Amino acid sequence: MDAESGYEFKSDAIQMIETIQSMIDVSADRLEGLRTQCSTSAELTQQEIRTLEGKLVKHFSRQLVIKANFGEELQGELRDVPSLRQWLRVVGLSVDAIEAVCSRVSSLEALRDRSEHELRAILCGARDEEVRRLGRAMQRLRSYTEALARGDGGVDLPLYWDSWEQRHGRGSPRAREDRNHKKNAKIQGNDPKNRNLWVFNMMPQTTGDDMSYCLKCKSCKPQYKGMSYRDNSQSSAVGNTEGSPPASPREPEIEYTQRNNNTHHNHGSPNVGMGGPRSPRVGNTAPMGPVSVGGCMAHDIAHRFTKTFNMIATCDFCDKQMLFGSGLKCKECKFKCHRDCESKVPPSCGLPQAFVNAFKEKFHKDGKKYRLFKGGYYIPSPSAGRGVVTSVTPTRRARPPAQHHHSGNPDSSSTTSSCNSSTPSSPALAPAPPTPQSHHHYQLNAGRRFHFPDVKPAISSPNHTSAVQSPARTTPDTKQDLTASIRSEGSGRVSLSGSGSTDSSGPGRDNSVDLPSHDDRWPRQNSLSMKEWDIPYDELKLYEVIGAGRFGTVYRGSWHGAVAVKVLHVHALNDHCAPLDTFKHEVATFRKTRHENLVLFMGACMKPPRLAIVTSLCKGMTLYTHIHLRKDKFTANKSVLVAQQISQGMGYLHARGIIHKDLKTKNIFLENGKVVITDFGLFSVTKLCFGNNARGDSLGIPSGWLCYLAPELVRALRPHASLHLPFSKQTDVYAFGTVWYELLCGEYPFKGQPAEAIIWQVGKGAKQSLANMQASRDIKDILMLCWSYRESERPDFPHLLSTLEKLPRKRLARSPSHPVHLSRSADSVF
Amino acid sequence: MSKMSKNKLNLTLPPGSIDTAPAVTPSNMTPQLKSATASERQGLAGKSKTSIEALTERLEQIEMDDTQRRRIEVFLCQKEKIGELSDDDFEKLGELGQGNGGVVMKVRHKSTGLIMARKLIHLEVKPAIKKQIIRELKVLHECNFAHIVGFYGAFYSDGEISICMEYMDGGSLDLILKKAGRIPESVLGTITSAVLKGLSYLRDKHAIMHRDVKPSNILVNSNGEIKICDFGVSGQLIDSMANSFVGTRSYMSPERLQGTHYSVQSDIWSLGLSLVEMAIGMYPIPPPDAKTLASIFGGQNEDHSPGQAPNSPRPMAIFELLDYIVNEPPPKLPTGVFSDEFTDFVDRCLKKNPDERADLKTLMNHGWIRSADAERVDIAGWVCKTMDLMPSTPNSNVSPFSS
Repeated sequence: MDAESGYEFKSDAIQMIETIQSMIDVSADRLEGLRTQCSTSAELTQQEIRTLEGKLVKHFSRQLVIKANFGEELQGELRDVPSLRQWLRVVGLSVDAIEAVCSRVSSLEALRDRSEHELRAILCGARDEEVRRLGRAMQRLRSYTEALARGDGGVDLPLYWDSWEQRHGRGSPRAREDRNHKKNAKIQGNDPKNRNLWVFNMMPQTTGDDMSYCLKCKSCKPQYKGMSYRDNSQSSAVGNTEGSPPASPREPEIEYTQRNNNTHHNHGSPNVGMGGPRSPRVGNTAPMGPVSVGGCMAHDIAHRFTKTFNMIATCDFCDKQMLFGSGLKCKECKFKCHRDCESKVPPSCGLPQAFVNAFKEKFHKDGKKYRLFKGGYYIPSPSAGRGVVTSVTPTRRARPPAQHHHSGNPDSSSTTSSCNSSTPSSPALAPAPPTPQSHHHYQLNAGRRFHFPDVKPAISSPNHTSAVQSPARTTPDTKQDLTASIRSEGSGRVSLSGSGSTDSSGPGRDNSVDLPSHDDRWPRQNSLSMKEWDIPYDELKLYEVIGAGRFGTVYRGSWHGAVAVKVLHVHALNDHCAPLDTFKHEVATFRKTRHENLVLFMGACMKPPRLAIVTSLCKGMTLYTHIHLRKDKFTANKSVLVAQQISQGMGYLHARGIIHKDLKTKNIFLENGKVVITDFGLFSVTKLCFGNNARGDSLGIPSGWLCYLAPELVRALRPHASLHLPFSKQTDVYAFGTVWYELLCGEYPFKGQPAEAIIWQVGKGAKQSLANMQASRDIKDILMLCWSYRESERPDFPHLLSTLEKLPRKRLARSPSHPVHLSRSADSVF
Repeated sequence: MSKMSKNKLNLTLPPGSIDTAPAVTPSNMTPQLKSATASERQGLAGKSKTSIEALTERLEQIEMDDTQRRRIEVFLCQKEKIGELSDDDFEKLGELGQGNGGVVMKVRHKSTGLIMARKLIHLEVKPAIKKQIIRELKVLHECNFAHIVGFYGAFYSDGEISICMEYMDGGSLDLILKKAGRIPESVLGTITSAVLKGLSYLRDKHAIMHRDVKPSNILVNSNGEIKICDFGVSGQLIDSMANSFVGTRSYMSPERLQGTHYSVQSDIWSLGLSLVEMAIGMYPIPPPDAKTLASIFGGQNEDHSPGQAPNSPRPMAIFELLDYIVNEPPPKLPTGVFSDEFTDFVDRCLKKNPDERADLKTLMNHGWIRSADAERVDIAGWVCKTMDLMPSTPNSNVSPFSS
């Protein structure tokens, strides 16, 4: 499309603008759907959102340029194009903010000319996130418009602004979704906005069993209201007023209907999924809706597949043999499948086996009906939208009604494709609004027995039905259960999944004993004795040394695959001496950790003198290597990305009650931009290590160690071997500050000063001067807070994370999302 | 060796023209500056270290007596036979001690039979850094002086930098102190004179400051020679050292602890503190109470017994110790036990304000040093007696006896 080239005739221009408008409508709908329907924490979803944002910027820019070329002539006809309101929705502002802007600015052109400062003023009262989002989006729009005006395509301009995850948060500040962040999850416990990978789409039901839903829905009404506004405005903007005007914003069902009507062309998207034809859920309340079919839930946790090479296994999806290197394995639930099958696998991560089976059965039986619509969605060209529409529609029709009941399995599969394989059409405005609520509700009820909505007789799989009715009782295979239970301890997402019937232990399974359960409502499988983490030394194969530290020597090894083995240098230890018990105890706590940004603890050898810790093997290099050896420069954006991930990992550790004690760049790996923190909690193990760092009456201080030590630690240093340092969460935060400094400055604080000088200065509360540091005030503030002399003044990691997220980013390289880990493609950030 | 090709003309320059830079700049603390001065030094001093005549000529311009000069000539002769060193050349004889950052081994150079002290510093650095360190260490070839420990060469092997130095059979003063309990004032006077000469040699001829003056870095031998070692030649080496050791003692000056600019004056503080420690037989921070002093000096028993108790480590956190140095009054010699001159000398060294502290030149002209120089104390006898050594011939390399 050649919109930017001049148009001879007014009519051509108008036509073109209208064409573009229709594309905008499609893209906007899809974007909306992605934000609200899909788990925005999935990278693919985020990429899809970015793609759409980019497209929309281009469309709007073209409209602006065309319009500008014709100046006065078009003003009359095109006063409302491009639509300011639609643009603001696309940007991702809340209804209130949109109203605020519209009341003060008359057109997109006018808005475009506002400075950032003015935007801020206009949006006063809106959330920071919105202000930033608008600022960024406007900047994108401006730069692309200028590029168009210059005649170049602006090909290389970044055009996205990462607008996800605010949708459900309309009106209230919301903590960011964090698939791994337990703290957030807890904070948001009652917050409907918190829907991570679990997307439970529930429709208000006609059946009486679902009182719980209704209750919940009531509490969530305001959300609906917001939604309805949006939908209204959207429909007006689109000029598509079919369907009835919202009868009352308070009626969610009506909202749905309306939205469905407005966006009908998208329904077919698989995402609509479990909702099936979405109209049904309008049910009796909404007169215009077709038939009420009853509600159901969908499980929607995308797998996180990684390539696996050394396994011969059977594809969990197609049941065929997998050969070396042809397989993928989900990092979370160990689901295995062919690469070719990946696209067909439902987002069933952590789903009990019975559900998966039910889905599979269904899938195989119904075969083509559930085929995915990938092809059309990936087409980046503007026409893709339309293509999708057509391609999708038949499918939708073909969908049998029974399918809705399918516990969402089949549907969720399509959701996967929409979320993860970035199939935009799915935006399927499906049951977005209910989602948060249902989620909310779910969480609330998690402690009590949660019952899935009653399933209608139409259900096709008995197996499934039973599973549904005794929620959470079906247990997947043990391994999965185990991982699930571990996961459920930490991240918000995980705990959700825990509540989601997936990993709660089946009957007869031991519940957790040793795991500190802050919430007993989720029974955990936990009977593992230490034995199960004890790896016989003989089973380990050690290869070359890949590192050496205070603790001992690290080897690349092999134990059911590549691992890192830290062999501790321990001399003459009895089996039962106190430090050994300490070691065992600490090792026991590691198994509780399961987080994207933490190295995976696999086990330990606990028979002296063979003490070793086995973890997954970190690829990539340490931050230390990057910063101090290779002298790699980290841009502000990269630094922030890394720091966010560290904060996430550390926040998780702290939520687990584990203090790292030795957070430093040498213990942080960077794997394709993903941060992996290692060596947590091991510090006290040094006590075991003979001749570690004490020599006679002096204390050996590894280079660079001191500047990670908080004042209270530094003051406690004594020249003798036994280091009883008062480590705390706050000391980890201090250490994080130093890591942050290294990232920004490429060197250690107090560089070049002798150890004694550092000890005295830090002990006195002196901090590395930041006078020569090229960084914003915000960044320096974070540093100074982390380095606060008083521990109570140091922020905790969740707080740090949110502060880091609020840092303005100038040039948005693919920016962080939630969770802040970078997508699978190596080039995404680094 | 890179320096082989450099011409020797510089050698004929009078010393006065060499040290254009008066001493070390106060801001010498950054590694960059350190390495800069190191290369600069190579410039000033650059010449072939193998040419004995040239060096001899040069030695004549340095203030040394005939004996000292002859000893250095002998040393250089021996060194000339050795050439490049490598790991295979050595036979391990024993461990001499733990230096800062590494172990010091007593070794025999197989082909020549020379006994050397080989300091091994574990380093995990890139080859380029290793080369830089070795290059910087070559400055040591130019440090030929009666009160500087002789240097045979440095090389890298197997993850460790080896620095091969003259073996001093008397060991370091901290070892001697442990054995002797205390060191008599007269001996201290001679030692101090030697250290001051060594420090001013480093400063005047090589623009180096020591940075780590303390008893364990002052070595003696059975010839009565007193030499300093372990001075900060290689900034890169300091930066690359994996570990530093902080113990119950710190000789670091208050201004350095505070991270402000420091200079050679900082070495003076360290010397003063070392003197007090050696004189009273214990590290003087925090200052011993009257009772402890009485038990040390009351019985008038010079030797072993009193030294033991004060040596036991105090239960003080490292920070407390350092804070004491910065914020409390500086240590002093107990009154009535030492000469007024000695007491005054120490007081002048231990001024917390570096500007008030006496400088090298003033101290070398101090009455206490002058009288010590005049006194000609038998250091060799004292060392041999204290360390149970046989008085030996110069460069007692021939017969290896382990310490």
